[in-house]
Amino acid sequence: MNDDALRIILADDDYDDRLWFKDAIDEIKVKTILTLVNDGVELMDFLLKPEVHLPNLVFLDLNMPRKGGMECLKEIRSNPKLKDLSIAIYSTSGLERDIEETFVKGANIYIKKPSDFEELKNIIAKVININWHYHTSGLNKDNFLLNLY
Amino acid sequence: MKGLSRNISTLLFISLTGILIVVSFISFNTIKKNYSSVDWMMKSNMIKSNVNDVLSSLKDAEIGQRGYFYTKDSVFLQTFNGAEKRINISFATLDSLLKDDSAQLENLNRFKKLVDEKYFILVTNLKLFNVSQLDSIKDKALLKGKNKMDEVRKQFVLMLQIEDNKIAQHILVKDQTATVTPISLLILSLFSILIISLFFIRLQKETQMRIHSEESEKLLDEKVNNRTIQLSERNSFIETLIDSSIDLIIVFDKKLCYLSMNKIANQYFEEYFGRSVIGKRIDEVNLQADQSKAYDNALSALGGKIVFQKNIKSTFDQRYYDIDYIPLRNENEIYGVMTIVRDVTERFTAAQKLKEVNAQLEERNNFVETILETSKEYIAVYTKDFTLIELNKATEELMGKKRKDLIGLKLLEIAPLVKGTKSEKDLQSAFDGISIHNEPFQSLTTGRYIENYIMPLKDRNGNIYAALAMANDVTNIILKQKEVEEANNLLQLQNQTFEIAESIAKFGSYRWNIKSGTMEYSDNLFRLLDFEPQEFIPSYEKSLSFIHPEDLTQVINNGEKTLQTGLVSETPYRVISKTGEIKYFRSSGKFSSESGNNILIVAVQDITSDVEASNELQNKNNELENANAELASFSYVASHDLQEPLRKIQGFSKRIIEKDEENLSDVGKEYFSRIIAAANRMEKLIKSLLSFSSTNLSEVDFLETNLNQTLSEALNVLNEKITNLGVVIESETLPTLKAVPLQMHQLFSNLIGNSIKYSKPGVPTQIKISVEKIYSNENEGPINKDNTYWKIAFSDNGIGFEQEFENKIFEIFQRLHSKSEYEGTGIGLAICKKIVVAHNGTISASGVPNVGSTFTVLLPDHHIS
Repeated sequence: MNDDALRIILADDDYDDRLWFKDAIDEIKVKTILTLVNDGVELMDFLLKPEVHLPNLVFLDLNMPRKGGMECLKEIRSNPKLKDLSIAIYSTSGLERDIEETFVKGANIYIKKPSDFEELKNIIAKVININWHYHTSGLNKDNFLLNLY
Repeated sequence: MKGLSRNISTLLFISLTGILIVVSFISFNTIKKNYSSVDWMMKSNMIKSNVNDVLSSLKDAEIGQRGYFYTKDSVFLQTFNGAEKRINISFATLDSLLKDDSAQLENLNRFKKLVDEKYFILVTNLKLFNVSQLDSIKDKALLKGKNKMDEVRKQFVLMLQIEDNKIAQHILVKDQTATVTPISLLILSLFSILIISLFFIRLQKETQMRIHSEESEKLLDEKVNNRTIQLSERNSFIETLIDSSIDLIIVFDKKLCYLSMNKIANQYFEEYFGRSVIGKRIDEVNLQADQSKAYDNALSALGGKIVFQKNIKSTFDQRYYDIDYIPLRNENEIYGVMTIVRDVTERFTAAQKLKEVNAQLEERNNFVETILETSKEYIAVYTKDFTLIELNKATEELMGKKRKDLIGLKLLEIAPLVKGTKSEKDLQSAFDGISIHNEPFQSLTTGRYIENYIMPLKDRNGNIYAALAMANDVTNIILKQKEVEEANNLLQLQNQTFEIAESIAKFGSYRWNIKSGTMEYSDNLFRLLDFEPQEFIPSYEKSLSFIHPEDLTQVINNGEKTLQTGLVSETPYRVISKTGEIKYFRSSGKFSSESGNNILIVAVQDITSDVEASNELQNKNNELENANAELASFSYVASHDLQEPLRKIQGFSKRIIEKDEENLSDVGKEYFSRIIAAANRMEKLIKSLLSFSSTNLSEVDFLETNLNQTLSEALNVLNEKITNLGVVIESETLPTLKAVPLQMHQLFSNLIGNSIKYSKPGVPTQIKISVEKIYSNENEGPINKDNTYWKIAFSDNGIGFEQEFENKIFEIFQRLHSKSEYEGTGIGLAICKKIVVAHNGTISASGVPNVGSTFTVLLPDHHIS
């Protein structure tokens, strides 16, 4: 694997969204390695594999079967090995309540799924950029909150 | 007695003998003393004579000396020399005589010494006279001799004196004894004679007595024998007598224990006490209740008194007895007590009955007298010639004269007006044996109501001897009756009214006398329970039987509380009526005291319809809550699940247009653009629906809101359209009021946007906003009274609408025009209405087609949440 590439993982049970997300990533001119999982259980399995190379960014849908995004968020933040991961919530819900709750539980970015592909591309590009910036500048992760929708 | 006298005799004898011995001893002693005194006297005389002898010898010696001295004759010397010899002999005698008397012995010795000295002087002088011629020396020697002689003489006198004294003493003793001794001897002799005589007499007597007693003993034996025979005859007679007595005769011994009794007594005790009482003490078993009294009486009898007890009730057979306690004596001693117990029940009960009858008679007399005296009725008794012979106090007072002044007067003298009246005739007819009762009639003279009785009084033979007239003033009673009748009528009327009221107001009542337990239901309470009025007799238990089983415990508990606190619980409860219908009742009531009885008066109201209505309301509320909850979940669904596929449609459609436009035919392109338009519209619909539903969901604060600011913000949002379409907006100065700023913003932009949207084609929109302060009592003030409202009207020159659609335009998704004519979701005005209502205001619309519309908003000046 190429170490220069940005490792991204998306957990979403919706096939269309995964497809769309992949298309958007492909069209952004950034070296990325994208992993797609179908739900929270698969995500946690992946992250907890001993030989895993942890991703730089986790995109997390909230409403998933078996294990939802909120649950994954909690598990990740309470696991010493995973707690420093950058997490972007990626949800259809634009409810203020949901947004607040995810931030309280430790999400860094909140993205409401857009209906426009171009918009999606822009948002992902922005997130990757910011995250990159964060990586290289040593910004305080606790202050790294971004609401995009 | 005999023993005693014998003892005394013995004692007497011993003492007399003792006295005799003592007296003899004394006499012997006295005599002895007498002799000793004589001895003493003789001795003293001898001493005296010897002393005299000594002195005279000494004198002889001196005489001899003098004689020789003068004569020188030796004869004298013989005398002189012989004197010494005699003196020595006397002294020897004296020594022996005085050997027991030490004092006198000493005197004697001194005497001796003096005599010796004198004799020596004599001897010396003799020699001197023989030798000397000198007179002076001779004289001196003589004087010396004389002096010594004086001393001797002195001593001599002393000794004699002592002896004389002794003699005198002994003479005294001797004299005494000489007198006493003969007397005592005499007495002794006489006394002895006396004693001897006494004993002699006694001895004589006893001998005689012994002879006599032997004779009398014989006689007595004979007598006793006779007497015993007599006594046994007598005893059997008495025994028969005692046994045949119907009285209980009981003999007690000295300890007051039952000793014996006659047959009947024995039977009595056997019957009632169950066994023999012989040996028991009188107070251990006794027929009278007060057993110690029996004991005391018997004790008095034992002391010699005869005691009577009358009318003692026996605890054994409950009959009455007289009891006599009689002491039983033999010759001089009381050896027991006999009681005679006589059954006097008949006598006692008869006396008792008589007493009772007397008491009753007396009571009755008192009673009748009291009645007569206290009765308010006028009572008078007349004889055949109408003379008043008796009257009571009331009559006395009526006539205003004293009884003594009235008795003996004739009726017509007392009341002349009676002459010829019915009363006079009535009195006359009483003497014909007819009793008359006149019902109350109104007196013509006094106007009062009188009722009277006139009846004959008969003696024992049935002869009429007087007539009794009794009159009663019943005016007050009659008047009271009338009052009561009237009150009854009124009460009946009230009752009827109440009955009607009860049935109309669906309530009934009951009265419950707590003490007696009696209960009365009002007619309507029966009807409420679906019974006919008074169909059953109500009771507490019966009442409970109507209570719904689930409410029974509560009702009983409340009932108990009511009894304790006096407060009737107003908690509703269910009853099951006769027809099985469940009804809700509510009670209210209070306690009232009626002639000492505690009466609970309770009004019972049938509140079934109220409860049902309230239940229905509750159900509606629940439904509404459910509906709200559904709406909330709907909005959630709308915001998420509905948007999800829509987003996909939009996204993919756009992607196709962007990526594959060149591969699509023109028709395909056209269709895709329509899909996108439809999806966009769908998105708008969903979003406005969400915003509508969130209008009441969001809990927001009311703040001071300046509507001028709100307006300019709304115009800002719409700025592009306003500029493009050349819209003209005029507004008066708007108020500041308490509102939710965001909602006000939405209200303003919706209303203005609405006017812009529905403008006439080719005509620039003109909007006028007018403001007016109004009060609720004005015609247009529709909601709360005593409140000030701001009336804000938005008027435009748009297409207007038919007035009949006024209400429809505020309904959600209702549109008056087609989508193609005017874009819109049909939610804007619905939201406006919702906002205004949430602010306790109203919104109305008026319109004229092709002229314009006016939307009028009324908002309260001070919002009261």
